Amino acid sequence: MGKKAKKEKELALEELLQVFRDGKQTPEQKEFVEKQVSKVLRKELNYGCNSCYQDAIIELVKMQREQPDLYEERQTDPLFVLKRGVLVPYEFGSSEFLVYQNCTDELALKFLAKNPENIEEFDVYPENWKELISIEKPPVEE
Amino acid sequence: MAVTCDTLIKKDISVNCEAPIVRGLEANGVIINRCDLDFSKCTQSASKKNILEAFALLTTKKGFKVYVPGKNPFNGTKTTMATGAYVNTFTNELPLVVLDQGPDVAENIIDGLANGTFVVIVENKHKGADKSGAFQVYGFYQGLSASAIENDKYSEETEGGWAVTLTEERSPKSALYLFKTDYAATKAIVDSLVATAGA
Repeated sequence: MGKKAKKEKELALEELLQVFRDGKQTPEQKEFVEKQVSKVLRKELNYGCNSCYQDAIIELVKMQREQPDLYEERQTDPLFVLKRGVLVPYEFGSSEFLVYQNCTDELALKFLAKNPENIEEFDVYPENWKELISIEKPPVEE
Repeated sequence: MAVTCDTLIKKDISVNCEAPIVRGLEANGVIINRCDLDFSKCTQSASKKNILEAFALLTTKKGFKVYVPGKNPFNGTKTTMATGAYVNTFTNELPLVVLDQGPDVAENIIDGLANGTFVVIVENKHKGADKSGAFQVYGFYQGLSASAIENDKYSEETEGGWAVTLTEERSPKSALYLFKTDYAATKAIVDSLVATAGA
């Protein structure tokens, strides 16, 4: 995404924040924030809390600035979704693991490149996952 | 199939000095509709028969948080042996409170609890030296179902909320735990059951 488009998105969120601060939000804007929180921040909004919408928008702006790649990735549906209740270690004895809530497409490819049979643990994956992991796999040094 | 099952004790009966016993449960648990469990992916530990290492749900299914505040959350949770003609089994009782009421609560929680079968994961305060005793699973074998539901508007305990008791009868095991690698990894599995959908 270009710098201009990124700036526009940031501004859009900041304008939305002002709307909430002024108490002029519409039900559609509230629904938009709720969906963004679920999709991007992977949290649930506390609907009973007056300031939580504003806090959530601030968190969204922060993520957009500090982790733009993750923010953009989470705007689209993920290619890989791990089953809930399953834990996939990176390798035997490794403390690095993949679970539903930390599964990004990038991490899924990294873990699958190491252990392709773990594809069984995914609920959602693209048809060309084997091609994608071969791209992800670092070339073997000779 | 084994001709006889192993029913011998295999360890000294003594006091755990390393991790002294502590009573009670933490305030947060997870409840899952039992039909949402993917039993083909719920794997038992090869070395410890009372441990599950994976607790997978079917595609698109999720669990729900149960939060019971107060000094003694899930007070009354207990396991008792029931004698049988040929084998003895265990009865698990798990009381919880719903500190809310209204049409949404009645439709989405109480009516479901009244007729469904569930599996509940709670966290023991006593987690053991290696923390393998932290997360205990109730209802995996027979399912927990409601044995009592009450809404007393002047209740001293629930202040007009709902008191529910879930019971599992004839469980073949005295206790079942969820544990994979260490506490952090197991907690991540439990959290994944209720995490908000990414998509």
